[in-house]
Amino acid sequence: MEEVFEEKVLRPFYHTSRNFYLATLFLLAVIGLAGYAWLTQLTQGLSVTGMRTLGAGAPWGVYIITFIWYVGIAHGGIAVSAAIRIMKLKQYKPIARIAELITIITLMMAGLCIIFDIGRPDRAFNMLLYYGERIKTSLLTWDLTVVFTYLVLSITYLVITMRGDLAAIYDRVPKPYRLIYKILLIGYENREREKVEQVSWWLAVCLIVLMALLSGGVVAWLFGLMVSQPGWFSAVQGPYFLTAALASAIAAVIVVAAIIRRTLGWHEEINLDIFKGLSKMLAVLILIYLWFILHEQLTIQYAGPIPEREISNAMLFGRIAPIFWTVIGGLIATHIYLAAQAIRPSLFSLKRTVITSIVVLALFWLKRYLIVVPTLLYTRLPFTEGSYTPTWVEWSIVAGTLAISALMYMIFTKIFPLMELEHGEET
Amino acid sequence: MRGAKTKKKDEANMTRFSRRKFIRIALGLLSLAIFFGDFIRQVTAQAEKPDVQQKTKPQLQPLTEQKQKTKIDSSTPLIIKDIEDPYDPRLVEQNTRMPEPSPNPKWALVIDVGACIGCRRCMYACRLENNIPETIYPLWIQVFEADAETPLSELSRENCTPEYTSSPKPGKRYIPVQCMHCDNAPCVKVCPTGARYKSEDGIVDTNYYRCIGCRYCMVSCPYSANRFNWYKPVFREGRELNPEVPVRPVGVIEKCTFCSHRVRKGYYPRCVEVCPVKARRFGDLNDPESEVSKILEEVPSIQLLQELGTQPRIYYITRGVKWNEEGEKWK
Repeated sequence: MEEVFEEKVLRPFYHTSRNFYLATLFLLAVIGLAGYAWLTQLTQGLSVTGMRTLGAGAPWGVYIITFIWYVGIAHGGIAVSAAIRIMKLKQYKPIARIAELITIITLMMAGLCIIFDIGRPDRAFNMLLYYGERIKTSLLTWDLTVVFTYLVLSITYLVITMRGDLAAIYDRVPKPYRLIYKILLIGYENREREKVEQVSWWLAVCLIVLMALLSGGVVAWLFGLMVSQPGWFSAVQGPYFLTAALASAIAAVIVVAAIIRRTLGWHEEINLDIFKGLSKMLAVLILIYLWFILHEQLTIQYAGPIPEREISNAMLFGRIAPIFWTVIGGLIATHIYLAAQAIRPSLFSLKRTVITSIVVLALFWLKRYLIVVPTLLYTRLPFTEGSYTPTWVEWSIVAGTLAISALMYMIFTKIFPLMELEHGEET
Repeated sequence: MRGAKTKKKDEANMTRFSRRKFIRIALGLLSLAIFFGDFIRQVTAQAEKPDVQQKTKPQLQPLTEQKQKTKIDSSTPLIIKDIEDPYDPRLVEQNTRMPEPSPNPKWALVIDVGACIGCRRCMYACRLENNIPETIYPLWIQVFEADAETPLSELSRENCTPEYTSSPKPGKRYIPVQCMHCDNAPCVKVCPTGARYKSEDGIVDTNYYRCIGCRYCMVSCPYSANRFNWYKPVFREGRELNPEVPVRPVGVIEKCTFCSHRVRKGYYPRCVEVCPVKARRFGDLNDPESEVSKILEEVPSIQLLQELGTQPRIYYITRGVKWNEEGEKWK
């Protein structure tokens, strides 16, 4: 039984389909376009984006929106994996590493989005040079800390839980891989298994605790602590962001796991029960998120401070209403579908669940647009209402980050085992 | 069983990965990183060079294209008749010395919105003084036109606009807004590199060579005082630059400096100097005998958005009466 399983894990190392090459080519083309767009941006300044100074437009745009979106997925992704480990949800174990990998890749992309966003990427290093003096008050420095802590923790977590598997399949992988395997296996001993179990359990606990503080904290504080910006300054931002993070992460895990299940033929390992469980969780989280939106908008509309209400009105009834109601309508619809599927298991269909998850991911991106942009268009002092339309440069760069993450994921499946092997039964 | 055997073998293999090999790989990666970093630096350095004095028309295009709605920038004539061109160098030729400040000055600006006629001279003189390129919009100072009966704490887009085309108008008053040099400045707090800092004399200034262009200061400022260099700086043909003020490179933030280069030499800021109706008074709050200290003692004042706790250094009063071009009182 185990042999068969390991064969399945090893299969992608030796068999690469034509579609894989086609997809790689396509992704490389998208990355090339993004590279060209970035070059344009570097040589001509951020003027090639749709962003503009307050009073004329929004100084933050698609890059920051995508940054929050990635960070959300990242923080939730490892939470899924950590929860599986802490609560020993054996049934979900096949998707643990899939979720971890999502976390690591999306975190890197989040960092990349910031590099694309800043006006002087050549000086980004200044954030580290002046780290000591700025960590006291700068939210952006907190954010840098968070992203890197999280990245280091999740890579550590991934590597130490993977070492046993790497050692187990070492002499069955293609020769060129062995160098990489060797690096990752430095100092490996067979008896470290038990210790690794303990360490990774505690790491998982740390990651979950940190997530509440980071995704539901620092990233939300970037906005929630800005007393100057109506529409942002709010104590509810933390839980609000955390819910969005978890929901979008679960949606991402569903999509990626379904793709892997199909392309690698892991129908038995990643069984339908896993998707059923995840989609139930997703349904609940969407409902909670809608409930938060209700709280936020009701508070503003009822209490009605003028600058806040101006933004809220623009969202509920004004020029941003189409996007706002798309998000609300979409979230309600996806919730109804997922809830119906949970109540009546006969309705379940993997295809529809995946489509719903993709829609959820898109909706949460749009929701991040509603967080970032409207507030910036309506300044507190009566500057002219701004407007913001992203340009091709921004879209191509964002598409580029998506392509890079897809490509990184694909390469990973070709080099490392994507599923934890069963060690427990060994004597 | 087989697994156990392989693992033994692995352990032997592991040791073969020598330190030398590791160092070689690390050095390779490092040189790659340096090469890539240098490439980025070179590309941005190219972008950094200001295009001084090039053809006017095509260079100005981005501005007009970006803001067709607002034409207040260069087409609006100044209200005072002797100077009509907003680029007239006479706007920046006067230099008056301030009275000697106390040893530890605390600079503050008092703006009399009762006297202000909304001529925008401060705005345009500031542009010339501080080398603000044509690619910066809005300028460092913005002047809002509001209904005279609207309290300064209740300005909103309904009763207030920066887009007026003639002034002064009856029933209106004019409110210039610029960086408030807050004592509890949100921009200083959020800056991730310390490029935005509070000087000892209270002036909030920017280190253009440390700024990474994240624009968090802009987002955190309730007065929207920061301007970002989206473009390479472009200056219209024939415009003379002030050698005392650096031209900011593309990709960094800039904003009002209270003309720190002048103030620290003992001259009034340019906007104060150029105001034709003396609606702007500048001085040292630590000196009880200074003009601003006395005004603030006598006249009730208000700071914009003071409820946010930023403790701005610009005070607004309504004391004066407007005067017209001929020097008569204007209602």
